Amino acid sequence: MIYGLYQSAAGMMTHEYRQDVLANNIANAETVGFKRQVAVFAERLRAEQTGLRSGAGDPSLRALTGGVWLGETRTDFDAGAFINTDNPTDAALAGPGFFRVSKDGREFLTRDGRFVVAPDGSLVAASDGAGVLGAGGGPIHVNPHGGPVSFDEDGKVQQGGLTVGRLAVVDVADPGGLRHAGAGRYAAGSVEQTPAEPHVVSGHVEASGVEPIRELASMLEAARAYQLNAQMLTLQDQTAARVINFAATV
Amino acid sequence: MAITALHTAATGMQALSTKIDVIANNIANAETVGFKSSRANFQDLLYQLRAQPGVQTSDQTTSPLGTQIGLGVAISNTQLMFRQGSAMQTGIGTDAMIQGDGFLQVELPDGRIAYTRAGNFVRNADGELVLGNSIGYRLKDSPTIPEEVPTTDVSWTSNGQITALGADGQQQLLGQIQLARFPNPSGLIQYGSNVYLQSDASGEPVEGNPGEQGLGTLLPGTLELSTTEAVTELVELIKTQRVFQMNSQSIETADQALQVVANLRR
Repeated sequence: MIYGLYQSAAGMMTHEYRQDVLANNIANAETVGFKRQVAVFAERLRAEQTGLRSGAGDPSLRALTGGVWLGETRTDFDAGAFINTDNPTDAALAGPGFFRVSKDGREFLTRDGRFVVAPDGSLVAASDGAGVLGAGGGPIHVNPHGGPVSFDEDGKVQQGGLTVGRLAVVDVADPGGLRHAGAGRYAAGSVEQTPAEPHVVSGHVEASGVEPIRELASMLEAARAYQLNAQMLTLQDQTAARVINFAATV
Repeated sequence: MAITALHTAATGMQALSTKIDVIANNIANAETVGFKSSRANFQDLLYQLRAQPGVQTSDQTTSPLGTQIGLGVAISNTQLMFRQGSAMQTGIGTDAMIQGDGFLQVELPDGRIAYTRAGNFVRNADGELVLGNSIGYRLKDSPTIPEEVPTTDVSWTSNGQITALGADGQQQLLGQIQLARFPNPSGLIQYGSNVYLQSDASGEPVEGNPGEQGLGTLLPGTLELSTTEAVTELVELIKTQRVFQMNSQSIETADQALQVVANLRR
């Protein structure tokens, strides 16, 4: 069949995926600690290059490219703006690194530093109560009736003038390998972590890394590219129709 | 698929409209004594893993990245922000403001204890101090103020004593109240009428005299103003509205894409 039809269809699908990624970025433009994702396109290999087939039946097809496909989604770990919340148990990380939290026995990394003290005195994530891990690897406990808790610049947990724990902050050499787990978290198991020198800003949260205007511009671009591919598909369809009609009249 | 983007944008619009609700309530209560503003906490939803990072792509190579497509956003919760409100002098002796940590305790008609930062107490017909809200919750351990003592002679001390100016010109002790504090005040239930209720998330209250065990002290003749900062809230409102609009653009784009598909064959 007409080779280009499939390429135009693949182009449409790729730009659809891109729209999905952009829509998720825009939806999370107000999510603390969120990092925007970028859909990376890749030139698709020809069928014979992938080794699926030894070669196209028609030698003229061998010179054609394989079109485009969604290569991967990359996460842009650039720091978001810091928002002052005046809430001492909010923490933002200046520079790279992640906080460690644990939920149902699984460990996650996150840039979301909205923490609260649970009734039993453990420091937990405000969103769902996942335990915040300390530098020693265990949970952080404070005195539930000991008054306000805050963090100092080194990530030490302070209560009533005493240091009662220290936030675990880790660096990840290869953030690209992090798997998104939702709730602003990444599955910790998949990547190698090294303890980092924390630089914690208490009373602040890190805003979403999404700039809605940039995402919107990309969204329009993706919509147009999508339409162009659709136009190409229609054109090729019309060409095929002409050939068929012509053949029918002969 | 474009259908995914439609739903993703819809989650964004839903979450953002909830945030607008929260901001609207904060602004509506900008003049409510003892009010603490809340914030809406957002979290991203699950991700569709179309390709796992780190899978083997050939004998020697593994993919450094995956294809992970997010499915939108949700409100995880709303969080009460217990910042100290600023003080307003009223000159009314039965008014009190907590400077520091803790809550004043009042009794609901059904006997439960409610907690409040609003200290605008008034004297009722029985001579007891009640919270100046629409229901008039009685102050826990409120003394009965003798009939002959004018309300203007009643006052608080910083450590929670209620006193009245006696006929002899001496301050006479009428009663002592205690403040309560919680391990996690953000987890209290907002009951309306300026009071909070205890929940499993807030933990058990610990009572103590004002000024002791890290509890705040009382400032008589003063009220704690709402912590709503109008400018901050308005900026948030504008931002939220714009992001809401942008999500509607995502919907429109996805819709257009579907329309293009529908018109492919004519």
